[in-house]
Amino acid sequence: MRKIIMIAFITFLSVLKAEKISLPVESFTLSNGLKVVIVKNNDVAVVSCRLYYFVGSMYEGPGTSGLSHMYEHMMFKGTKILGTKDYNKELQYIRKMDIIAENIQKLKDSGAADDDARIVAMKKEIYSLLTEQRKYIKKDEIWETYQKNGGSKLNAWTSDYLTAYLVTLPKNKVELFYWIESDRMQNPVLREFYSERDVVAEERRMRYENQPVNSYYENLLSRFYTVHPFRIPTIGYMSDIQSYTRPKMEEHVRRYYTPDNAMIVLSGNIDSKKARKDIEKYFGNIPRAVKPKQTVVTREPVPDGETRYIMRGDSEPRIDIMFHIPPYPHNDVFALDVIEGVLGGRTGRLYKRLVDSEKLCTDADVSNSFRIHGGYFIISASLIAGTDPLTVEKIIYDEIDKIKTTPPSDEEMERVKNSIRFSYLSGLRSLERISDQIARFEAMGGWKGMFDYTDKIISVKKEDLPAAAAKYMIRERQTIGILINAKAQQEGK
Amino acid sequence: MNKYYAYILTAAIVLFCGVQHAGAKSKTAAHPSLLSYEKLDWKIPEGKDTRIILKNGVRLYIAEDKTLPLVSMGVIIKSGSLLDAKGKEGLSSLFAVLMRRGGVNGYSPEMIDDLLARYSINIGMNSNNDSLVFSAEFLSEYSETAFSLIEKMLFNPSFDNKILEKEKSIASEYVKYRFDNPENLLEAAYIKAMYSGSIIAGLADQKSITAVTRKDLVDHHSAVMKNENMIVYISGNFDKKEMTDRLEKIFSANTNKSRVGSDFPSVTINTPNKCLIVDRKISQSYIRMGLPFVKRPHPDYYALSIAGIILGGGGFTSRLGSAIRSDAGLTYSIYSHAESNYTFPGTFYVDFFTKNETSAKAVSLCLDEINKFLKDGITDVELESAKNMLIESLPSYFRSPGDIVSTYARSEYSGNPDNHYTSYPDKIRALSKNEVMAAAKKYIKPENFIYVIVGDSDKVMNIKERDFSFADFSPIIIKPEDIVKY
Repeated sequence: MRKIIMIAFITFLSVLKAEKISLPVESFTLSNGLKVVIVKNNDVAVVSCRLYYFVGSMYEGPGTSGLSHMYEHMMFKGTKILGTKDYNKELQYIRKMDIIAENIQKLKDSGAADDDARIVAMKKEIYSLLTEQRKYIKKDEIWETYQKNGGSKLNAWTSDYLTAYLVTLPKNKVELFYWIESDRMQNPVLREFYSERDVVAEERRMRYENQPVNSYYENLLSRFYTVHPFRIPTIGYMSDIQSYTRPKMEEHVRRYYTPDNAMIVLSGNIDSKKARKDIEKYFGNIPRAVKPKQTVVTREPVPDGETRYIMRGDSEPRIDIMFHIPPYPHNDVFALDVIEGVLGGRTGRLYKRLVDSEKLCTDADVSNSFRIHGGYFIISASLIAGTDPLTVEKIIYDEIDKIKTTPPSDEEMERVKNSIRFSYLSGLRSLERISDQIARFEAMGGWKGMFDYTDKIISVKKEDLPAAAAKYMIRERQTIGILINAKAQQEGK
Repeated sequence: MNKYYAYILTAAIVLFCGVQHAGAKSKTAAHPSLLSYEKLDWKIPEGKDTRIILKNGVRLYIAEDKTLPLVSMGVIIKSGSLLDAKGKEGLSSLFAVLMRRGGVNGYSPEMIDDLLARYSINIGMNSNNDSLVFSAEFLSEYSETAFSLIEKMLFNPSFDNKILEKEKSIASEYVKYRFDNPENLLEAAYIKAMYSGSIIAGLADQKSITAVTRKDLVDHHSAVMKNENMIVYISGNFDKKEMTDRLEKIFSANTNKSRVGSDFPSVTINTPNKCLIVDRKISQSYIRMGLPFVKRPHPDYYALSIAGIILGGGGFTSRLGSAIRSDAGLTYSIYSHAESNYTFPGTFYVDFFTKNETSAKAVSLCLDEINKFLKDGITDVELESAKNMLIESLPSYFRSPGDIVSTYARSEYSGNPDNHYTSYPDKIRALSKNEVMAAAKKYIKPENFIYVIVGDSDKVMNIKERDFSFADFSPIIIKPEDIVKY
């Protein structure tokens, strides 16, 4: 078996050159599909160790929204070895709680409310069983083990189609990462599931219920993407969170958290030969998913009209205009990035017009958010109290029309390209940022795209911009969000 | 666009945080605690190797780093919002903004903006309580342009009146919405509650912002922008000797000999009220329970820091995290923190949020854990783990020449000796269980907690759980809009 695996290595070793910078990158893939990228930097004494799974809210739907995010929490709960004093004794409690959770769901399905006395009693029973189970639990052993071995930047994150588990370790302790992550990949245990579900509900309240601007963006995005699962919030809908069960989560994990849907990126002071040997030793025998990953085939249709979303809330008033853009690596994406630079930023056309000249806004900016399947180009402005958002919308369109008809000046092009070069080089100073960018580009089709990015930007000609703007920034297909602060509106009158 | 909103919009949520495949493992160790590691061949870098005092008295930390064609520079200036006069709160923040955006003698603000943007020279200035930090990052090929502008911005700003009025208007808008986020409101209310009547508790409002004049900025510049008030750090793609000469020249251009002092006023902890509730009709209560602590350097600081890590620091592994978040499922985030303040006494606090209905229960559980902690003490394993967490992660904070110069410059600004970091591991290792618990008992007195809550006061006040009720403290209840004058 070992021999077959070694032969099956697909190796790529190159010195990628960008901006005259040599970045030694090595990559290989295990026979079970696990991808590995190593970026060497011997000037530091640490290694950024990151394990990415190509899953997120894009792979969820009604009833399962937020499962990837919930599993991000659960991954810290341990395995059959870590986080337990006796896993077999824990199992009896876990199974009992599953049955109660299932019965709660049946009651809810039949119309019972959360405060129904039967549901309240059953929830109490779950917490009583948890108390019993905890006699066999070693709390947070994974977190503690990483931490006491000098793990920094210890965390995890979830997005639409990528979930990451992160730690930066002293260079002599990278084996700890292989040990823990291979164990989490093979033997995760969903212990303390139902109490963690409550933690996630608290998190959702904190992020969305009590911060209207976040709720506004959640709603705006769900109107921009009408069918594509990018409309699903990564944290999940509250009703879905409160209905999660362990078996539902297990199904999600079986499907997506496998070596053939994962990538390790190591960045820092590391011996790549040893790393390869160790990764093979720890991860090589973990089987692929039984069923191949289901791809997302849904694509957002071309909008047949404009959409307006207006929300009132205790927040700074603002307006956002969104347009659909093609999926990366479509060539127009790069021209749109340059348009972002021309219109956006403090020296961009919109800030100069809306903040400096017209004095209608406190801020104005632009973001070209490219991704797989189709991203968005968004123009945002924060309004001074009393400013009519429709006036701002008109001015934004005036500037869009200029971009559609006249190429930017040479000076503007120089500014934008220098800015993108600087950002790229500046990003190379962070081991962690290099890792995240590699994973992000891999999720969009191939990590080497990260190193082509600045070249593609440099190759954009100013004459390309009007055509790109005209093609995508179409008023009849826009989604507009307006956040109104009633108090500020009154103040302006 | 504002990166915060971009972040929310892309729905990427950064968060803390089984399904079983039957893969056989072929590991060398049955448990990660049995792994053995090679000794780390790394030493904490010395700051003095990078330190130079220029002929004009400026303290400089400098290091070459030719890995990328970039230069990073910072200037720490003795100033900050502690120097804002009463009635002119916000002056220091406006000063920082105008230093960057207000133009320089000979160049209009618009010309400066365009030049910086054209060559992607990223310059900013931040105002803190007790420091101003000027920062610059740029491609090394544009060093000539960058340094020419930096010199003018530092020593010949024009504080253009038109820009001042614009920035005042933006700042006035900002203050209207700064407390939309309940966490920001809690932070402001907490400072008001712990430092009542002190200059640190002053909050800018539209009136104080409007009161700031160009003359105030000019006077402030004269008072603080003196070479002896500054520590400079720089790293990047340059020749050390040439760069030292260049900086020597730039700072020699500073002829400011003003005798106006810039000493910080005295700030003391003063807590006339036991409980402050800021009434906001939201679904959760944001709660902070605080106690007085010390001004650094102080012999108790490290011991209480370790106690704080075990009690409520260190991510999930703390006792409070275990009990309130993990066991009870009452919050997404809870932590305790021993503040590290060098200019005035800090505080020790516990911070969390939970549903309004469970606020009393959560506080009561916290108090139980804290009392248990004080009564039973800490274990050898907890102590060892907390020490390792502090010591073993050091390589992560000294990665590059840029890290070394900025860390040591900040350390010197705080008044630490040059062996502050090299002696740090030994100081931490030397702490005993008794010393940690002695510090904990000296400062963590549960009966003295000051409670600050942002939440629905009707719900919070009406709950009594496990013998705890906020109503027992006869809280002061205020509206969010009254926080400035509280």
